[in-house]
Amino acid sequence: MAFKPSQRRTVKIESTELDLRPIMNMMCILIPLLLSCSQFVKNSWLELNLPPVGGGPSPNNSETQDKPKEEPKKVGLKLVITEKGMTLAGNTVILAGEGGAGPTLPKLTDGRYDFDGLDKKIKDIVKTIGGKGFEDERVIIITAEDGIEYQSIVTTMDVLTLAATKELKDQAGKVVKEPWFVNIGVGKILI
Amino acid sequence: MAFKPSASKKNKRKEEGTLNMNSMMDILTIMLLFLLMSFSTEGSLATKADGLKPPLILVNNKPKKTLSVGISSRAIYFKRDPIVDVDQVLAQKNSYVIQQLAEKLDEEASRAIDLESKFGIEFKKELVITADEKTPFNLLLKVVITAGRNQFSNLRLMGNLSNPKDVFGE
Repeated sequence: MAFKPSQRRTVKIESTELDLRPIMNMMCILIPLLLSCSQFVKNSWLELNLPPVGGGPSPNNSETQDKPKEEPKKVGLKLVITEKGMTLAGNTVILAGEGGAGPTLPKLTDGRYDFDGLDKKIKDIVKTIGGKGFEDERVIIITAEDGIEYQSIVTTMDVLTLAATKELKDQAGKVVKEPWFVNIGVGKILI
Repeated sequence: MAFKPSASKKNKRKEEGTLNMNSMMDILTIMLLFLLMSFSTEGSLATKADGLKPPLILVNNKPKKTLSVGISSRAIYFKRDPIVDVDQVLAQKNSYVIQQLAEKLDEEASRAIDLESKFGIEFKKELVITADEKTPFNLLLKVVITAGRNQFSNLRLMGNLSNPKDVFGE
């Protein structure tokens, strides 16, 4: 029998184009879906300091007994946030509200905290205590009732940071403004 | 002279053109990859998380990536892993230290100290707290105290940068 060449030789290789339409459709669904599930935000942060652990030096300490007692002047600024409003206090004084009782800044009639009032009070306090030699003039501790929401704490910290500034000179002799309260802490008043 | 129709026009074949989708595909692929990457990293595009809506902040500070603790309405997260339920923490009345979080932070602090001693990488004691805007103060305080007790003293409260109109509602 004579040799017959294989018919495979005659098979033509056809080039087929890839159908991208299903992938395109999937992409068109996926992208709006992912976009709708997200939101464009710009993040920021607030610095938080912890109150110092423990008290002052022990009175039995021989070093402190030998040296003459020179207690630094401390103002001990505190801001207490309660369901009724905000109270400002120092080591020896509590700022009373307008009626003489209740929080320094009661909540507004619409139930919001009086942040404008806080801004003014802080400005007044800074004017009063600034440059009087208080060691902790730029420190404030925020404390609140257990149920006070985080947003209120953060907004209070914002107001405290933005209310007053201190002018300082940098190395080049240029005047730089920085927030008055460099140390904003949170704590709990234990009675 | 009789009108003679144009031979070239008559014989012109209408060719079917195919849409070249390659460039379109490239754009879509890049967009899809960008979106997927944005979901898995910190950035301007944030995923809406159920129970964790950060508070609005007025002070503009540029965030940087560091160790983070999350507080949602349901659980406390360490590096995005839930470690303890919020209800369980709130039920602890006598303690201000969250044990589960303390263990994780202690582990992390030990690792950082080890790296500092071996390779000189400074342990900055930084911790970012990302909490839901409705988180109660006592829960926040417990997290803060737990962090402080485990050497993380440089705390940062993370939020979304906003304007006074949105914050004060005026």
